[in-house]
Amino acid sequence: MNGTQIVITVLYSAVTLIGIVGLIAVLRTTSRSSRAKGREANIEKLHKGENWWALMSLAIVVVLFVATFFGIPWMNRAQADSTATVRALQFAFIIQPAQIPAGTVDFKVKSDDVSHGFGLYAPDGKLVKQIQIIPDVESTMTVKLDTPGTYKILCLEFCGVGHHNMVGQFEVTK
Amino acid sequence: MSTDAASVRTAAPGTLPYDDSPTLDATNIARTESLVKRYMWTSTLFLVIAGALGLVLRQSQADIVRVDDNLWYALMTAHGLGAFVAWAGFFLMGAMYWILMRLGIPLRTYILAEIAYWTMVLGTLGIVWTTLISGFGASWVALYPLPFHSAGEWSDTATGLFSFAVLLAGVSIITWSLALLVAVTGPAIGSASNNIFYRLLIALGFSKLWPSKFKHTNGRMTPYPVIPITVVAVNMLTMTLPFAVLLVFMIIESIDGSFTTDPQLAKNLLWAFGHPVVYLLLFPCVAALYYFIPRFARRELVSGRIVVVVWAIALVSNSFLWAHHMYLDYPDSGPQQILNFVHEPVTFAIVLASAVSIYALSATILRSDFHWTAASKFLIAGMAGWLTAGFQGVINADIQFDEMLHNTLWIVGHFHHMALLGLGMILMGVFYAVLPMISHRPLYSEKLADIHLWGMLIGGYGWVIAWLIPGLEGAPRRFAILPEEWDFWTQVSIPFIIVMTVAILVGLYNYVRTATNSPWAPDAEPQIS
Ligand code: HEM
Ligand SMILES: [Cu+2]
Repeated sequence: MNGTQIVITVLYSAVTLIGIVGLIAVLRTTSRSSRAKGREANIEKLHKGENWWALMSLAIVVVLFVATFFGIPWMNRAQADSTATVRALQFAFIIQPAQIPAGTVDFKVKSDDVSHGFGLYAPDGKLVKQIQIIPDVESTMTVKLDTPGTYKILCLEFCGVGHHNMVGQFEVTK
Repeated sequence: MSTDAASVRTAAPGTLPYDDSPTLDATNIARTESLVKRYMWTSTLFLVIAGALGLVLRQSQADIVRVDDNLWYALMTAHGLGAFVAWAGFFLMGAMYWILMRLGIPLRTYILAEIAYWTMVLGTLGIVWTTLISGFGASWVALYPLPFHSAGEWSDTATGLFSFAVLLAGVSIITWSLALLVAVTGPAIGSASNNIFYRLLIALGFSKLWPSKFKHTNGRMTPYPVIPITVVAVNMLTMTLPFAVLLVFMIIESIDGSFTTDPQLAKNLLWAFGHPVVYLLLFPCVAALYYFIPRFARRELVSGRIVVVVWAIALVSNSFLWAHHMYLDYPDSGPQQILNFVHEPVTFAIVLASAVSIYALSATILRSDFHWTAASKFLIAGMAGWLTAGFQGVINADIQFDEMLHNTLWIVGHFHHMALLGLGMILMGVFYAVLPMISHRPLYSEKLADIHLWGMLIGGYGWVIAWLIPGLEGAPRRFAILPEEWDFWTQVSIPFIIVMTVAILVGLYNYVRTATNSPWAPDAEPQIS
């Protein structure tokens, strides 16, 4: 997994754990034994809590928004060392050049027919980055490729009967 | 509690422990009940068909009995629309009529509800026909111009007919929205002014927010479930239209090939509907929770004014967030980059409605004398699914994270988690609660309901986790045959799917027996203590 995937895994596991524990805790207060020794629910306090809860949720999503701001691909591009062009068509990729020197690469992608997806997989088989390939319109995906080897492209937008056979590849050289 | 004949009748078997349903006219009850029964059973039939197609898809990926490539994609197209719209959406459409009736706000016209029923049935049959027989396999989103580039697998006529069938389902959703809006802005809501916007704001709960300005004549505040029902009705009424336009364009192109549409525009029109339609499931489920959870907890919903604010935010933001399905469309020229950027915070804004609702429902349950039945167990399990799948939604909403997740099996895991283990379980809980009341018979078996519940939890979570993990590693979505490095997870999912399928079949048997309740039923007595 790459850094982003690890962040997602950790973040998701953590909040899910908290959520489930919280829900179970709430449900346990309804058991007969817990109600027998416990206090009555303080409805007024719970009402106030609702406003705080809403504020907290707002704060969390604002933080998330600010945090991802710096990862928006088209707003945070590095200067490219080289450029490759990618033409996609049902059901193949034409990538030029076939050998790309290690470094930051601009992939200029465009489709001849329907929408396709440019899913870039590292030599170890893990997803590096992706962009949509739109008919007749050029888009640019900038990515840093340090590890030499054979990179594979899978189509990541459903494009018809041959979608799963649509693979491409290129070499990254030292 | 009222004692007139009608409400005594509905209050007999399977009644809720705490019930404040206003006195209703008996003909209205009978009419709504027969309508709702029809929606619920027809949609359940569609679940059987769509679920069977899902099984065929996954077992084919597992190479048990492999189906032909285009057939796989055609089945996928039918399965997605069938399960999402014709089962879950359709069922909940009917359930909302019932909830409104119980709240004393019955439908004022049944014609719209009938149109909505028949257009959905015809649309679904059309979808089944054009996919399974004519081979249309462009997936449920039918991303333009793919429907017209079939690589020889289906004809343009099939595309036209498929578009028409989906359009019928769209007409169904629109007429349903209208039927609801006519009801919630009608006299039963007790609006102090006749102005249509005033009445709409009353239905959206503004009298709680701003009591000096928005007043009721009947002394009853807008019941909480009416708020999400009104929001979804407004949203679906407006946001189905862009997609309807695109479908009409596709129908025209299927007749006259020289008429074409811009692919980027088409994708925006599609998602302008394609995201809100998720809330055709979620918001009715929240309405159902607002209705049922307080009744099982034997107290009113613990909620105040902020809930009105977050639903108003949801209503507006739902109309301007579709580009979060297009984060990775960022062509070098054109306005898409800006649209994607703006739609990210709007997507976050809609999370607030769910966050506050989860709080209100939990606060209602807290330290209550909660009544556990088949129905309430399913509702709680569904809440857990909604919560845990909702966190994934927040992750997907981040552009940076979506770049790793878009069109991977993580997304497939996410929406099955949400649609079946979250909303689907809430829906099944609604069925357990409503069925005894509308068929005037006790639930056939609590024990079978427990098997249904635990089978779905164990099978269901195994099933979605076997999508989430490989998806997180980049396994691609919509692949009839997956690259072999992901075969392990496909194999793992199969036993879980079998457990889940058996559980659902047990549940269906339980529903059917409840409705027909034969005298030889072992525990035909009401299970309410
Ligand atoms: C028996 C249970 C089910 C099984 C085994 C199943 C299986 C599948 C499979 C294998 C796919 C293709 C995934 C891919 O993109 O690679 C799929 C797609 C889908 N499923 Fe299910 N599914 C089930 C139930 C449901 C339910 C209950 C819903 C919704 C309420 C649903 C909604 C969808 C949707 C919307 C798609 C996407 C279709 C498309 O991309 O065109 N499924 N399902
Ligand atoms: Cu493709």
